[in-house]
Amino acid sequence: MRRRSRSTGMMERYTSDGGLTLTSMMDILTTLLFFVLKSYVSGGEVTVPPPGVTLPRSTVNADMHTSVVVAIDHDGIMMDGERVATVEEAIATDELMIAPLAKRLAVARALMDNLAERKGEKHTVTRLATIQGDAGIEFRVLQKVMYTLDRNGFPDIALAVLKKA
Amino acid sequence: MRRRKQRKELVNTDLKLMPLMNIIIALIPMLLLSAVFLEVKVIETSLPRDADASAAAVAAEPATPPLDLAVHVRGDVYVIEGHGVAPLLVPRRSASAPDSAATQLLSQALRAIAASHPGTSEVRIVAESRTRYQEVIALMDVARGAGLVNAALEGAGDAAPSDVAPAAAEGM
Repeated sequence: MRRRSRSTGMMERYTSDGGLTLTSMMDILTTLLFFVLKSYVSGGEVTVPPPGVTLPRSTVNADMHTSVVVAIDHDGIMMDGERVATVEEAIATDELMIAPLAKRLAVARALMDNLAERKGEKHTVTRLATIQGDAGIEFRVLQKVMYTLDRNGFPDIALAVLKKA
Repeated sequence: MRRRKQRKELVNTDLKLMPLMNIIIALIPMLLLSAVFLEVKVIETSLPRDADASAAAVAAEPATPPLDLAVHVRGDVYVIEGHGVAPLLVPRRSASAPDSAATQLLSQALRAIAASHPGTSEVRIVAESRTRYQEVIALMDVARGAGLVNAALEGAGDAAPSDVAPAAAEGM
């Protein structure tokens, strides 16, 4: 009788109401959530190359800054996600300046100057441009884009690359 | 009767985690789908400055002529040149990026030059018009590894491979 009462007590102690024990799973999911959220904020400026652009690989370790982005794929030259000229147009002439890109850069520069003026920034605004070029493009296209950027008020140029593992 | 009433007032203190679980389970796939796992980095570069500005700088410091180190990409060779440096030819076998042997030779040569000219951090990468972008980036990596962190890009036009004159007058 005494033994029975002890076993009955143990049964009562371990009997649950049928609900799932989710605490350990919650721990895992919470850790995963923090990990994913951290991967968003650890890299500073986050950018995704446009579809069709495979960035070259490099060992460099400098982070990207907010800037005007010019992307070059095998067919065209894009600025801020919008196609402004084709590669054929760019290489058709001997001139280093790409006129449609220059026009877009002038607009962007005017906007940046206007914004700086409204903010009351008296010092010269640093104009940085980032080139997201496909690894397979020819240097002459890159050369013309860089020249156009330099001559249109964007002398600081950054070349976007993928970090080598 | 009193004892029965006390039993009924017992409250279940377990946390109700299911709503939170539902949120987290929806949130994690959404974040994973929109996450960027490729690390995009940047190489800061510039165009070579005007020859007039360089000449003015040279006039201001007449002690020694600048090294003006350049790595030229030619047909089947890389040529390392500079003032006071004997031109060095490194075979170029691949048109997409320097192979490991070429990388090693270029790296050794640039390290030696950088060591013999302390304070030098500038190099020009003079590429041909059809040189692939990946090859230019690979050369910049080699130069950076040798301590030449300020690499400027320059176009060589369509000069003949035997022509060893630097192409600084191309406009870039």
